[in-house]
Amino acid sequence: MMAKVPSSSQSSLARSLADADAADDGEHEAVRRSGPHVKLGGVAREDALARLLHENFRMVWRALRRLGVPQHAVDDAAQEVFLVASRKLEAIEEGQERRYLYGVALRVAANARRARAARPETPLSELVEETASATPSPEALLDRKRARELLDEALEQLPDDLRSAFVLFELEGCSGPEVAELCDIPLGTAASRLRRAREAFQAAVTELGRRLKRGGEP
Amino acid sequence: MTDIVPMLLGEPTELETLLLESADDDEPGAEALEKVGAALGVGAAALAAASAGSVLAGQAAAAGNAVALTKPLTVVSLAKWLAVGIGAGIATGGVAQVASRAVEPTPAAIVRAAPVAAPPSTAAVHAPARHAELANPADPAPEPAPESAPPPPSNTATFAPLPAAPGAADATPTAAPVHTGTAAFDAPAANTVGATAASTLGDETKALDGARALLAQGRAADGLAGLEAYRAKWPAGALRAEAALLRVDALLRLGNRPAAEREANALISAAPSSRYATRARTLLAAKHE
Repeated sequence: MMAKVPSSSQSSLARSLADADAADDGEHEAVRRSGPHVKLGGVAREDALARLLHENFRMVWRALRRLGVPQHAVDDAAQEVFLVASRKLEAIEEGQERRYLYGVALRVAANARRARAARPETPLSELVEETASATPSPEALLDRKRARELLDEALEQLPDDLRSAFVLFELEGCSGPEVAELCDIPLGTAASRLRRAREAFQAAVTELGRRLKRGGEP
Repeated sequence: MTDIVPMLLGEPTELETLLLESADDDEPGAEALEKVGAALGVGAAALAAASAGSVLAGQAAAAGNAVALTKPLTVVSLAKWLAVGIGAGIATGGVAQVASRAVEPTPAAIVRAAPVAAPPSTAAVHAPARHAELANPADPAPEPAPESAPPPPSNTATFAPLPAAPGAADATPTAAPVHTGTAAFDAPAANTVGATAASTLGDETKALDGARALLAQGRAADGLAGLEAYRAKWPAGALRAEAALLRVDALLRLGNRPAAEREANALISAAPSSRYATRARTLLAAKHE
């Protein structure tokens, strides 16, 4: 495992941030573990954070969504990721920002999924009924939303590690090495996870299709 | 180990295609970025300054909305698919839709669809190229990732680099002026998306849909003309990144590779880590083969 990141002396963090941060202490080499960290001043820090946001916000936001953070909570989850990152801004290796942020996003998403697990999901049958009863619309933004909900339901069937590899490769267009890098795993492991993830996803979609058809039958 | 290519480049089922492509619609709103920026103490001015150097967030958000509004096929297909489930009995109705989408590079799937639309030799080369590293990796290794291994640059490791010299010998001249700078890709102000009237966005979408359809029909010159008309009408349009990508495709189809490269390079330099840059690189690599 990776070495610990020197703990911060900042004690005013919110508990959730502290949790995410603590989990993040096992972060990979995206964070420098030694050497002095140049403390950025006000303007420089703001500029650095602005760049970090602009270059990575979309990736983080989308990753959180597909990793199971519900729509209504994803903005807050993204904020949590970047707040954690902001605390370690000076320690994040240049060029490793994306990797670092994805690692934090994985943990934040896992926390969100655990929290959500305590609440019942909308049954698929209700989803189908809603869809069936909806008046077909050319705009159909609603239908797109349905499709994403179905996608998320299929992704929910995947174990976390497989889901992450699948999301990066199939949905975010990452290459194999990028999947390995962002998941912090060897390339062979990434390939293996991806194969298994795809099998699981296909099985989930197949089952989803069966249920949709059954749900629509009179 | 067999090659692993994205599902959408393989033979996904209709429902798999619909669900996978639906993810492209999910994009953060501009307000989300501003909200997080505010929480981090990053003011609008700093965000704007960052966007001047990197248009990713705003551009991607705008373009993401573009994607969301330029994918009617997915919507129609999903509705149709569900209708089948409901008992309409048109079990094969959606297949043609999906098949047509495979040759029509929708924005969201343009990287993935482009090789499919390209000649077989191109597709055959492209798919493994993107994921060549996964073709024959060693069996899953229990060891941790080698820390000494330099991480590949994002989005670029598996794509062919842009040719240093344009292979323009057989370039087909077009009357279309080629955008060479990045000004046109300056970040749409984060508020642009929200401020854009739905009707305007809808009109932009229709314009690009028309151009895209022409490209899919093999009428690249007409498609390019449509894209020129788009640029003239909406020089700061919310979907201009998507339009630029289509122009790259059109120019490549016309054999005007130098112009395509200029167009692609402008997009890449404006947002090197965006998926639009990735798509542009992929288009160039695919069409280059």
